[in-house]
Amino acid sequence: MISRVNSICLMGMDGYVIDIEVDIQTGLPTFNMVGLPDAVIKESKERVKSAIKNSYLEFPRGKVLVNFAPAALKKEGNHLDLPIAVSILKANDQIKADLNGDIFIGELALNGEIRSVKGILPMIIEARSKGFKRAFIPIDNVNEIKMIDGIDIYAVNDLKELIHFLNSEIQIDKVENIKYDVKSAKHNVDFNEVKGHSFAKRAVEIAAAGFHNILMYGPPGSGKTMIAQRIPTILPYLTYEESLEVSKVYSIVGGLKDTDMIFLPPFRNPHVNVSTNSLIGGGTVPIPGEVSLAHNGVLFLDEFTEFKKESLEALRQPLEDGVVTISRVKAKYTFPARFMLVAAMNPCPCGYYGSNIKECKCTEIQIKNYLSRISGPILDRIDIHIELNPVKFEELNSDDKEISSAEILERVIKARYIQKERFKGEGILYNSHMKSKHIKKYCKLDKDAESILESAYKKYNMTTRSYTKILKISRTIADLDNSEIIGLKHIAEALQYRKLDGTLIK
Amino acid sequence: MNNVYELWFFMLKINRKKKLDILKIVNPEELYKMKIDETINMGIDFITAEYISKNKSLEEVQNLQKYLKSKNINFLFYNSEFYPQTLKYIEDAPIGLFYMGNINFPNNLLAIVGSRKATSYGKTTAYKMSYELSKYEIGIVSGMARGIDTEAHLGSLDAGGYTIAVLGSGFDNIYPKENIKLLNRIIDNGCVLTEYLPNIKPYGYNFPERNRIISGLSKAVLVVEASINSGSMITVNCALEQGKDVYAIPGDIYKETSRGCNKLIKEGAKLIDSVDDILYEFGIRAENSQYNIELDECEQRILECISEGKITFEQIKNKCKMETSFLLTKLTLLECRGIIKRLYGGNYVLLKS
Repeated sequence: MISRVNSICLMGMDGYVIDIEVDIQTGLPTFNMVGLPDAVIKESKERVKSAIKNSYLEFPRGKVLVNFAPAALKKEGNHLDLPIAVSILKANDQIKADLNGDIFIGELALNGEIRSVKGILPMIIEARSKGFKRAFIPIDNVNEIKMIDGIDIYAVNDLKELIHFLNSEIQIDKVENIKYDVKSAKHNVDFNEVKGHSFAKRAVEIAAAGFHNILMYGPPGSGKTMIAQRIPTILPYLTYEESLEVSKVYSIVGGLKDTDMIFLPPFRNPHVNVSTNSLIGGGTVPIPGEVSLAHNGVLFLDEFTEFKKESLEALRQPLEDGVVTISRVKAKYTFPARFMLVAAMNPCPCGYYGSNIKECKCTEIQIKNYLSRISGPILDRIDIHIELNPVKFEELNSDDKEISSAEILERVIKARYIQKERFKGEGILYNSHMKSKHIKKYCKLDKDAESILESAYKKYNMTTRSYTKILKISRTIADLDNSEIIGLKHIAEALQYRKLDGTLIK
Repeated sequence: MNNVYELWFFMLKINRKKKLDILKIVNPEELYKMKIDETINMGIDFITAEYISKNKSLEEVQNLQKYLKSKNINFLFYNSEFYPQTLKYIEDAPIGLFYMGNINFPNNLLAIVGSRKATSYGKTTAYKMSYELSKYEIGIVSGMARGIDTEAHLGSLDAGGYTIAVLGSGFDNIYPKENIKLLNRIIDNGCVLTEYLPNIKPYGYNFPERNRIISGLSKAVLVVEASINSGSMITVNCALEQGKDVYAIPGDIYKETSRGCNKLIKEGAKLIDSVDDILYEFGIRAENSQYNIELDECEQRILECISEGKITFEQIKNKCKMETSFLLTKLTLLECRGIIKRLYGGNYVLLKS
């Protein structure tokens, strides 16, 4: 007797449906699998056998053959235990019901319990789009898919329960949908906790509004990390589509178990020792890296100069394209990676150059070498550079009310809206993504602005590169000011955010 | 333009003092055409005369001439009318100078020298002094080394002044390499000099030797920051031998890097704490109005804050109580007009003009 049951395998961010066919023939007992299963799936033989027996069900005697189709694609993952077991029981007539339109996902324990797996969310989304009606998933994964409607999802505890349900012997309630509600999520930090630093706050406001990458440098303890951690609080909440995209990535790496979905722009803070693969994504079967986990949010690289050179260079593609593409012989895997890069570093090796607290001990060559660890192409992709200085005691104790994240966010949202309207049909979303044709079209300067830019261009020996950066930043400043034309004050302020240029290139 | 015999004479491997003596009697072209016995009759010793007579091939000289032309390097001979008069007074004046840029020196030249391992205090001071002096048409002479020298040149260039760099190597071996961009800026707005042939490397012993040119060109030498054993002390010694004034900027008494300057002051160098001191020595009247540019009320207030010394953005904001983006705008405008400067590290300083 032959049976067929469906499940889903993942390839990068996307799933594809596979058939699991089981044929039982009389003969000496054997258990074979064909159709390019990987080592994990081959091992599932023993788990499936034990789980069936320990659930007081019957494992068929005779030759059992499992086939995975389409046969040419390599299957991988621990989540095929459950569909294999179901398919065997179906072939053995222990399940009477028709399983067309059902999807099974789960790993089996030896006692028949169903264990959680990674990547449930993209699998369910794929199943829904392929028209499946019901999905059976591990009970521990239930949080991840609560916001997905259009498919009935059943969270099951163990194999026995599932079989009883399929044979209509017991009743299980399908998982109840929750409406997407961003308001339920809250940040646990706020910009009003940061005393002083008005310059830095203004700079991150601009960065957030125009999705500009930002580099902060200053002596230890000047508040770089504190400010970086609060940048997500001034980024707009994710829309349902954005959230779904981010949540899919987290689901694949198993980072969604405790929360339902990611509502807030993510903040990722990888350590300097991070390997290139875990930063960008990779592995024999590629999984997303930190850049994808920071998708639609902030990737904070503290001690920027201490990162491995190749890791930093590998950031170029995602910074440019907003996606990471990992090539394997069999396939290409693409993960989303549109993040805001926030880098922090000291101004020199000892950390105190220009500080008013401590004298710097570094020689000029040491400082030059230190700064040259960031390559030109990477620096090119960072629009805003700012310097931070430790807050003075008087500022710490001042009663001045600090601006809150909500106030900044309001301005950011307005500026983003202006950009969205402007770039309709242009294929870009933010000022930072403008190409030269867009700059020509949308960065109109008035007379005063032009003359100050010209004098600054000569005075600071600017390159054309920093010239376009200034234009992009001033466009965002003008948007925050709700001004169509870029004026003198916008350009003049923008010039304050590109001070590293003059230092690096004397 | 260049006289081939002058270059030939320059390239002869004869002691510099002897060459200067010869030049007092005869010019290079005549010397070249003389026979050996005529040379001896003029009072030149036998060994030198024999050496001259054996080295009359002009092939190498002509090659060099072509090379100089292709690289846009000019040669200035001791006898030339453009040769700086001030250099002729020093005891072992260079026989010739290679230069790029504009050789029309302003009347007032000041050498600014100091340590290569400068602190931010020294660098700021060098820049500020050079910047403000350049506004009074005082040319800044320095050695284009790292640290103080670089800042001195930059200050002058940023103020649109005239600056001279005297190198310790030939034009093919610019040292330090990272200053090549600076070199090009100086060529456009001033002059780069060296007494070495293009292929000469920056040997350590070149630098003390070139220091005599730095002090020789200038009216006085300002030492910004130097330790006791600094190369700047050699320049100071040259200056004293040549009878030039020495000025020094006082430093922290606990720091190794300012020992040299403080010692100079103790020994009688003039203490400098503002450009007015130098202008006084040069006999230039400092303009009384601090800023001869119009300033509005806000800018006036900002400048009052900055005039108290190095100050960060947050401190200015606290004192002036202005809105962040407004203050940023004002600061940029003031900086573009050359009234203030933001330093690497986030501090603002005032540049008087």
